[in-house]
Amino acid sequence: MNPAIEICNLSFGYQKNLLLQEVNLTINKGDFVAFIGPNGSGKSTLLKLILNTLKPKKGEIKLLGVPNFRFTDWTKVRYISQKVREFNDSFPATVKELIASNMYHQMGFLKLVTPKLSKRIDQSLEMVGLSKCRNEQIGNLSGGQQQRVFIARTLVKEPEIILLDEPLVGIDQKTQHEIQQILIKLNQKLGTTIVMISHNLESIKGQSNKIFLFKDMDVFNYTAKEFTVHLSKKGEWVVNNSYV
Amino acid sequence: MFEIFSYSFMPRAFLVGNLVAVALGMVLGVYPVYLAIIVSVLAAIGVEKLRVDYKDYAELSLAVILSSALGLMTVLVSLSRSNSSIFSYLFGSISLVTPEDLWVIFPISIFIVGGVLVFYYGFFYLSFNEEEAHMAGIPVKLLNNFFMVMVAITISFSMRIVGGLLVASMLILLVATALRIAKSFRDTIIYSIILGIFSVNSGLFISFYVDLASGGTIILSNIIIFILVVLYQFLRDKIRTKRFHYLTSFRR
Repeated sequence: MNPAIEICNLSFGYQKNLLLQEVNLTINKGDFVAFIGPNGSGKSTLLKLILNTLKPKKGEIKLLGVPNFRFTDWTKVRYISQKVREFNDSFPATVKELIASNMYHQMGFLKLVTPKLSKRIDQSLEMVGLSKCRNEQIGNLSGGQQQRVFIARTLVKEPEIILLDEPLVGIDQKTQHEIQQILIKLNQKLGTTIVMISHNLESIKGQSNKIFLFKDMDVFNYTAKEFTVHLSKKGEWVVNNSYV
Repeated sequence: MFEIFSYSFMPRAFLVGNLVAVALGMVLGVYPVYLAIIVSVLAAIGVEKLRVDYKDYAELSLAVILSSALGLMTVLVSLSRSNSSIFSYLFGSISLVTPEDLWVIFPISIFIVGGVLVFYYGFFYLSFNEEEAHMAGIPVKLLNNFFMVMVAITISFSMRIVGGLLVASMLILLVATALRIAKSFRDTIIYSIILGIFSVNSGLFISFYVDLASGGTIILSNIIIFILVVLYQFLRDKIRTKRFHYLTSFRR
């Protein structure tokens, strides 16, 4: 098994108090991983640590075998932030233009779309089932469609690892399901490693093979088989007989 | 559009920079356009630097540049004895344009059009979301500075025809109109260019035959186009909703 992300004895805190303490985890290539846990338990923080936008107090993170502060090939590791859909709705951009802009470094001397790049845009749009919306204005699409466009924008870079921070927030159930299906397809067909922060505990079991529960400054690892979740009488989530 | 342009008095900072240069040129007796380019490029880079430093109070940086330039200009104008020619730079006059200007404008317009083409999708990403562009590895700082320089140069030259006080409104009105009809970034640029050529030419034509100030007439023709577009869209939407109500009334 080839590890995609390895985390060794990682500790981190924004101020004096630690948020994550002595965390160890390994994500292999081709894994579909879900990060779950209450708000403020360090899920988004860990993604930022992986991306090297935050520096750990202690410990090490390796991306595809390379320590992340020395990692350079960021096209292979892409991040879709929670804030991705916060943009000016009336901005005059078509879906095609938006995706094309992410291929800036693949363009030649003139930063324009060549037929070859145009084909890649089509392929990635097909992957997320939005081929028809190629020339639509981004602001006119629904929230779910926009999220799919942003996934397509990530796909043109042909990444090996995609990190998603709550991609399903504010999207209706049916579309949530569609997006999950797209991510599963990416994971199974292209072998893309997917790490996703999610609050949708019911659907996690069906899609992920590994589940990491963030709790009390630590991260607990479950495989999908041993993962059970139910609602307590008070309406709180209970994962493997302990409260989340 | 650009985050750096979201503060509406951005072009005003350039323009005052330009006027400082004109006043300075008058005092020193130097051809003002060259000076204007130099001064406004410096002002542009200064604004950009302050904008990044003040991040959350970007308007402050503009106010700093704007007020210092205004102060300088007032002093310089009072220093030069004749302040009649400052008027022609404030309000523009086609008779000011010399053959020398044309020879400078030609290579510079190639430079600007070329610059936009070379960095096209870089500019797109930058205007869509500066933070994301930075994360995607686009040279944000370089492009922002380059853009500022292009705007500064454009303003320096348009000032001769349209006039310093009006040139900012010309840059903004064209895009405001184009934004109403365009559905993509590319179309917005193309429509602004077409509208620009059309309004400058029709404005000059009318100002010549009716004997009006060229700058003002150009801006007014810009505004007329803008109003026509707004009116057209308003009426179109009205008719659409009416037709919708008419069609749905049969269902009841």
